[in-house]
Amino acid sequence: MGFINGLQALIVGAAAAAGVVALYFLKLKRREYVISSTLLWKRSLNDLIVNSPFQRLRSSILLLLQLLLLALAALALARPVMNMRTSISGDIILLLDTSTSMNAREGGATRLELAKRSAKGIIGRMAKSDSMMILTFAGQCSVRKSFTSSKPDLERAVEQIEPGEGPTNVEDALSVAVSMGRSRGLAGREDQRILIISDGGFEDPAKLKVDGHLTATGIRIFTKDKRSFDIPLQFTSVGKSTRNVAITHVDVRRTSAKSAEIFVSVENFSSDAVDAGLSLYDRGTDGKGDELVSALAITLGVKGGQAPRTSRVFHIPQLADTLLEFKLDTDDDLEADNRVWLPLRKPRQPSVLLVTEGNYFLEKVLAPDADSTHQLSLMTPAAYPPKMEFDVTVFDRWAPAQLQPGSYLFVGAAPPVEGVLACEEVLNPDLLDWDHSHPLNRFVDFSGVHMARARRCELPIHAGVVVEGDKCPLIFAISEIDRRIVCVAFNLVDSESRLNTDWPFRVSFPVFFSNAINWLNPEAHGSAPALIQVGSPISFNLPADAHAATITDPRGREFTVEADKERRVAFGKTALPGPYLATVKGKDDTWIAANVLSRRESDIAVRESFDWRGSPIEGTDAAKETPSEVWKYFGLAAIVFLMGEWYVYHRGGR
Amino acid sequence: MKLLDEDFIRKLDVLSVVSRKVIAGRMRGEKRSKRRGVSSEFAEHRNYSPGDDTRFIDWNIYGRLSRLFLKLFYEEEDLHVSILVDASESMNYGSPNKFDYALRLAAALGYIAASGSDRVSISAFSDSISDTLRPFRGKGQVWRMFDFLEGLSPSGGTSLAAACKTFAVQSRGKGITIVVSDFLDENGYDEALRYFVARNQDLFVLHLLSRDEISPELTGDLKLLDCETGTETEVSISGPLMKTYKKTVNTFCHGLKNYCGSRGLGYLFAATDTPFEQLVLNYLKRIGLVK
Repeated sequence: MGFINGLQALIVGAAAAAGVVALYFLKLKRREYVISSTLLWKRSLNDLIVNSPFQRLRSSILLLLQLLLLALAALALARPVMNMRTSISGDIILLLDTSTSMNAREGGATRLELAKRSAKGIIGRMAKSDSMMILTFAGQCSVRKSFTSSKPDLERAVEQIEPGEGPTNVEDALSVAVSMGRSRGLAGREDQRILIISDGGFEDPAKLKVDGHLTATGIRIFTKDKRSFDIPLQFTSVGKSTRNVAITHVDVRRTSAKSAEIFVSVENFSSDAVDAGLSLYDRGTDGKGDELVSALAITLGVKGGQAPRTSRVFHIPQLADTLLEFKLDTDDDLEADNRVWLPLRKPRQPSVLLVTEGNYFLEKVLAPDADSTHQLSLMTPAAYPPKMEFDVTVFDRWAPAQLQPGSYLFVGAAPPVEGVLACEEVLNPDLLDWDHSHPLNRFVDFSGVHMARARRCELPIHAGVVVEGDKCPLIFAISEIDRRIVCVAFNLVDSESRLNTDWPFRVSFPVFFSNAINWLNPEAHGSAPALIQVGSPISFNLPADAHAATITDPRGREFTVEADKERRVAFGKTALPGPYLATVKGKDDTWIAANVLSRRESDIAVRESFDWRGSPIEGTDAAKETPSEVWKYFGLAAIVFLMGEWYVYHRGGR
Repeated sequence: MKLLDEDFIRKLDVLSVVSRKVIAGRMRGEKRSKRRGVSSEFAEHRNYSPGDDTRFIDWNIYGRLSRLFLKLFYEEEDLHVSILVDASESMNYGSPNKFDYALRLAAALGYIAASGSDRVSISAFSDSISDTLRPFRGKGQVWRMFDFLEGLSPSGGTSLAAACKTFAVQSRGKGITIVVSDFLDENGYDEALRYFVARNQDLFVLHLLSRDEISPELTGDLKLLDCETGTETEVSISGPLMKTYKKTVNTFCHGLKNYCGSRGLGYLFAATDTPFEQLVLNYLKRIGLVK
């Protein structure tokens, strides 16, 4: 316990106590009274002393009571503070973090369990007239309980919260919370607050879009009648542990049609150096295999120190589709990021159709070689369209009148797509820049590429400029639900087979077209991704004759997902890390791996505050007690002692 | 102060002082005496001896037994009633005043005794016998008693032992002694009363206390002054103290009562707020002091 006015109260109390004691030591002025004889009075006084062992004590009981009364009054004046669990008032919108990092162990419980305990504690301290709403957030936000005053219902809702996985998307959760709070405030319940219970493993909510004004401590909502009310933002941090080693990155690069390289990064987020084992298992096509492919011992330095992370490359001879699993053998507090699954799909060679009257450079660059990943067919424009389907169709200086769903590469011709309008020819355009992040430009350098002529095209809003010229886009790409188009807005050769550009002689030329074929490959889009982040949806297109897909989660539970109008299925129950199997009628089963693979989630260091509009919102540990003034209890005790002193005095005690 | 009014006096005429012990008096009175004398009350028979008064031969027995026996009768003798009145300062207390009450009581008893042709003497005492009314007899002399009693005033401390000793030495013969006092003597009553016990006196103790002494209504912090001794006692009146005091008074009264009872002494306790007529006409009868 502490005291706010301790010194002053001590001085006042001591002075008052000294005064009271002095009064007792002063000779009491007694009224003289003449009686017949003091004989019987003396006998009585003697009897009283002899027969009452506590008479000496009784004689000073009033003094004792008065001193105690003074002591209590002095303590009350000293404004004592004690750490107490304070009661909660007002409505609460509770945001409970269920992301991956909340599964970190803290002693015998996980952070989520601690958070649930904190939530229950807050529920227990609610006033009867107050309400609470419970939201959970990880990758997505979900409402667990609407506003209610029923403590049992709230506690049940908290109890039913399952551990989740996925990144910590606090922005969406705050947006929902503010929206809920705003509606409730406009209905008259303005006394409310948003309370986040989390380990702080989220980005500072900088891009929050709410219908209100962000203040230093929360959100201010304005009403139509020009009133306003504040919804303060509070943060309760849970957890202390930082002990975690995680696989933070995995990538596959096909070195050939028959082999691949797998790149793995492991990072130590602990404050101690760690020795760990990294093992690679081949689980086979059915996911049940247990073949150890490779095992390594790795040593990682402390977080922030020397060599906290390391990377390894594994060479895999890939002859068939298989499911690989990386396991990190270490003792840490978060297990979810110690395993990474990686479906390895043998790439199906896409079929490429080149529609041209003859183009040496295109024929050369698109021709398959020993390590080529596609097959090439040739066709003249007059023979178009082909009888069979091709994965990618390349049009050289010619475009069909209409374009069916598929993947197309136009060279020197504008695609017949709504929004694309071929305009005038421009002469000697200079190449200004290219989108380095676009997959089409991977390992591509357009420096020094020149062309004599290019066709200026007006593009739809959803088209992306891949290479920008000074007068017009030189290469653009359009990605639609059922179509992907790359357009090179200039010819390689003119109608008389004279070179229009020196690009075919650049290294970037074959690399670009290789990238283009890969990007246009139907397996690169519309098909199920091999890797997703846990909590993210699995989304892919179904073949024309399929209407639904069956997804089997890592626990073996099967879910049937119907396709939408665009023949696309979306499955969102990916909170569990591990391999998911997508089964579609008429197609091979496909493995999709949901992994943590997030440095943000694996770095389980608890954040004590987060930035909110430039001001920190400090985290308070809900398990801790907050200092509260308790002078009123001492005042109440003083009143009780006063009444006791009054009673004893009137009974004649002294 | 008029001690007794006429109406009350008339009521006293029918009463007489009674001695529980048959004792020898010097003059013929109205009390039965141990002596055998002339009276109408048969006492016993004895053998006739030559020279006895033949008027008292029981001829009925001679007729039956052919032997001569004399009838003996109790001699009626007078009773000496001594009244000791505590005239110490402590008696000057209470409302009604204990001393006034004691004087009235002494006057009533003296009148009763005088009416019964008993000899009455009254002594006032404090730390010794301070004043004495010489014995008188008959109603014609009661005015002397009233004058004497009305002339008394309380003063001095209480020394029962000294007063009783003096009285015991001075008094001759036997009779009834009535002590009217509050018995608030620091030295107690034991020694004093033993003088009477030793002389086989028919002693009656009339113990008077005022209501203010029995149940004092005192509060607060007081300095009690003893009006006799002048000693001071500081008290802070409290519930337990009052309770203890009343218990002490009770113990004191019962102690005296038991002392008297165990020694064959008559005892009557009376608070001064007891109706005087009731005390004299009823309570004194109960203890056998009057009839």
